Amino acid sequence: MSGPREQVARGDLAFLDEGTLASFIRERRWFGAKSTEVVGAHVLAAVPLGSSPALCASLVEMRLEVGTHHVYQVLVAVRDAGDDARPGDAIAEGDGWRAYEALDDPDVVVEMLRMMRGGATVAAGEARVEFRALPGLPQEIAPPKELTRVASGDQSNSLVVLDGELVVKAYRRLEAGPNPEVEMLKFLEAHGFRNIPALAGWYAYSGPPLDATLGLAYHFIADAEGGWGLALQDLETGGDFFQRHAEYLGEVCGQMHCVLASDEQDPDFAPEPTSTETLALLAATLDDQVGQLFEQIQAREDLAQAVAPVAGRGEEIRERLRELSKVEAIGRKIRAHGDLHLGQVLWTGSDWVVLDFEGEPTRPLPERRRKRSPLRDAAGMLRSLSYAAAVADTRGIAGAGAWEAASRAAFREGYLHATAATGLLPAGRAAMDKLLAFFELEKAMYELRYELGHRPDWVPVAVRSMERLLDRAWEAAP
Amino acid sequence: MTSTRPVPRRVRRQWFERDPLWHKSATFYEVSVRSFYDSNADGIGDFPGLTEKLEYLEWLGIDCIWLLPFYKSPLRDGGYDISDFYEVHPDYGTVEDFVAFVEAAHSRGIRVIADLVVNHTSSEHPWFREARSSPDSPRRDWYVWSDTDQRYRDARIIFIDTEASNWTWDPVAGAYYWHRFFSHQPDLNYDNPEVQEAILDVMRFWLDVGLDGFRLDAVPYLYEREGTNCENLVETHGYLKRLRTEVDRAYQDRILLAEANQWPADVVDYYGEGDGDECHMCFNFPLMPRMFMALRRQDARPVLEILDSTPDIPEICQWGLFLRNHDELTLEMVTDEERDYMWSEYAKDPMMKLNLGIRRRLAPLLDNGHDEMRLMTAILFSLPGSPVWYYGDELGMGDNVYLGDREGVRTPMQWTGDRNGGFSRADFARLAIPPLMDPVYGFQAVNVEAQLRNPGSMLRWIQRFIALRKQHPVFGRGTYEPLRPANPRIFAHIRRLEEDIVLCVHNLAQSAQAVELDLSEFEGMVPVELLGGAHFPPIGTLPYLLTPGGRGFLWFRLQRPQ
Ligand SMILES: Nc1ncnc2c1ncn2[C@@H]1O[C@H](COP(=O)(O)OP(=O)(O)O)[C@@H](O)[C@H]1O
Repeated sequence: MSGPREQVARGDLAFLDEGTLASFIRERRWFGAKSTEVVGAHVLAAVPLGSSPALCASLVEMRLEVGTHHVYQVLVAVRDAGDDARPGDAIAEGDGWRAYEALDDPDVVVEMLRMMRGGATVAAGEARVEFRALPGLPQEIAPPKELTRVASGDQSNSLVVLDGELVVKAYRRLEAGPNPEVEMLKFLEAHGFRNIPALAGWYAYSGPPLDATLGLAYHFIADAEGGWGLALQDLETGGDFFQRHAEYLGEVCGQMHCVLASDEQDPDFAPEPTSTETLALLAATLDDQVGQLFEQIQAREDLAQAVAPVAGRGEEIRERLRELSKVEAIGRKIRAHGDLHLGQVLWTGSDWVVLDFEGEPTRPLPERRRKRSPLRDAAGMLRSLSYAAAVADTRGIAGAGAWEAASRAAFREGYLHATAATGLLPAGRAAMDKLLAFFELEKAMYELRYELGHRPDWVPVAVRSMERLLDRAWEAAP
Repeated sequence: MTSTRPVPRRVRRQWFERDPLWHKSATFYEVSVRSFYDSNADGIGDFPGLTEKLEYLEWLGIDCIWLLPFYKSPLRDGGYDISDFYEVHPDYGTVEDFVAFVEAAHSRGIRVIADLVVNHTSSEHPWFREARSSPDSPRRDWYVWSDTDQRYRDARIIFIDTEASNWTWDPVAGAYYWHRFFSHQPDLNYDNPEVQEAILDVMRFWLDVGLDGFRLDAVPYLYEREGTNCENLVETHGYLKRLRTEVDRAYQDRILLAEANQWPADVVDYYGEGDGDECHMCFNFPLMPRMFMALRRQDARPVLEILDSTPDIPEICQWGLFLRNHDELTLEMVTDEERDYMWSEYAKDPMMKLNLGIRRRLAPLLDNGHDEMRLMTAILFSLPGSPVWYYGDELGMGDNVYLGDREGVRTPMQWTGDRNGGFSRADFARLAIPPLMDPVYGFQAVNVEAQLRNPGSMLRWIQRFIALRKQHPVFGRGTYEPLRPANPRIFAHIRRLEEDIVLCVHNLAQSAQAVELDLSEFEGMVPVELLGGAHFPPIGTLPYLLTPGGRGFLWFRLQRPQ
């Protein structure tokens, strides 16, 4: 007799009705096309990984409107319906069995870590899943006493923590090519950068329809506090945490860039000169986006009041972008974090740790791996400090302006100190200020667009933040 | 079996989602390495230079680069005279530079195909040198020899401006050798199984390295048979089937794109039989001159008629659509009368003619008319097929008719208004081909840097347009349904892919026109203009009235009422 358990253990998911699968995925937080119509779901590949519980890694195609699709990783496990353990969200249930998403199942996570430990490669026809260990992985993988979910900041991944020691992160939406996160963490670790969680292992898929990193494991930073929360706390309580630690944060970010720029031999990381077009191409793209953004703003009658302070200022932004993109020296391009902000740093009590090296998840993978001016990261952090201040501002908290100016200045100081004399940054203060201002404007547009699309409640913050940026002459930065 | 040569280094990673139909929704960009960007200041463009400029092509939205021949060559025919299939011409770098380029392109989501000349070699190729050296040479039979120049007399001469015969006497060999193109390009003898294998080896070598396919140069002429015109022979098709079988057997998602400058009914044979067992793509040569004709006559009929006479092609196949390329605008596949018309309209100066064509770029052909360039681009992008864009035309670059042969349309890419147009840091005198410097088309007036800053420039427009086309798979994969309104100045048609329906209306006239379209099939649907998103009145039972401006066009998505 062969039921779903045996089938899953063989890598056969035919028993899952495609409609059921489609609605299961559509309701996940990590499903990235919520506003789009789903035409159907289809299992593209399923590689069996174990039998207790029956487990397979699958790639599922979500067919969207005509001719487009997304590919998602779903870990499918099946247990007997009578099994005491009922972990994870159910995908489907039948006569005596229950199929569920398996990342919440401690047995499954342990099995996957053990496969990393053993360097397993599992093949099913043309498809293959490889597990690999890195030095951070414990020799013995003991079943955890506790398995907790961590909310993914980007909402595009799933994270679980084992006993407050190890994090396993699974990427959901898959794109062809290696995810930058494993690549970046490996490189940083190998080149001696300590302010990151130690990498423990990863697993990846190759075969039809694409080669992709599926996930990774790294150390959990216990008892640490997130930078964003600390900033808000500072603002709300009139605290001086950032006054004391923003400069060091800048130094850590600067050191990270120095390390990322330190290997001329590795073509994936070797710094490159910035070509004459680099900034002009970005400026042209942003110029078009300003148009779209302000059309979008105009169309949002529900938010008319919230957007009023910037509604008429599109031309001004375009003008400023044009002005700022006329820089003679740009410095060098390097692999960078790509999505650096306060939500991506933790304070351990004595040090900063930088997290999440996969870049902005809304951008296509090739773009996330692109080499860029490191100042784009620095601008991201500056913007984030301003964003926190804008939150305080919209809540009527006094002193946000002074806090913003002081923490920005401190961060900047630390960053410039760490990167001085590396040749990474353009020579001359004027060129650097211009570039920073340019990237901040880019970020501010991204924020406003993001809030309009995802968090209308936050639109006033993005607007306030954009307004303050525009009102500040860039020469006077920070 | 893979290539018998050791492969230098393979592209390491797989950057693409597998998709055997990728070519159906791709935008191609044809580039001459020689003329794109010079990274080492020797006056000649090279692979490291092209690699540096990938960010530009990625921004532009290019899916696949088509490289003109980059192999070792005496360069007497722009590299179409290959003297070693396994070497990169030293002017452009090394095989290692080439691999690095392909790898960099892939990591930006851009595929790369390259020209492969299968019909002939350079007379300097060691194969030919051996062949001519002695009748007993093992390579003798790799080429086509004859004691007389009277065989295959029904084969036309293609390069009529330079060649008097397809036979040339070789005093070393003491025999005539056959060549369909220049006399320094002897044709390979495909009746010889060793030649068939040798070319397969070449193909495997570059596919092993990581190339995504080939543009097969001059495919109709591989075999010769007495009493025929020696074009499109069944043996030639047989060999292409063999190439294809090998590609399908050993590789994934690689394509063959045929250059077969033939009438529609003959071109489609190069897709092969059944589901398509020869080339994945063929250029649509007959279409292109008729687009120019339609524009000049302000009359859609030449385009409609050629599309009507174009047979359907297998599902996995695709047309390569182009306005201009590195060759002359060829007028082989038009009637004599049409050719005279084209010459009189588009080549007023006899310098502009070459063989049976016109050696000019897009912008000068259209008198630098920006509306005309946009209209022609819109028509091209609206048709079933994948657009193949010629480098520099996105800027409206010009040509230099005073340069010999087709060099005039292969001048350096114009990056900036600075020295050498930003193409090279070499002394001007060292440049392989001088950049354009005339007041209208020269690099001071026309360059990437300036156009990037100008939201209304041709470059910025093309970039947005490529992005728009990419958002709608219907353009690559949908049906083509001509509408044939009474007003002949309007070229209008429907593209349809399942629920995705697009209406394209182009006005070939210089003045605004009114046109009534029979859209009764779509009654109740709302046309939404694609560029700006404006909603037009819903389609009713009466003919739908539109009034496009002179040389204007309107593209709509037909939306079901909410
Ligand atoms: N190693 C870790 N130690 C402690 N907390 C972590 C660690 N990794 C992630 N987190 C927490 O989980 C959140 C999301 O992690 P992140 O790597 O940013 O995932 P995502 O890319 O899905 O947002 C972080 O903001 C942080 O609060």
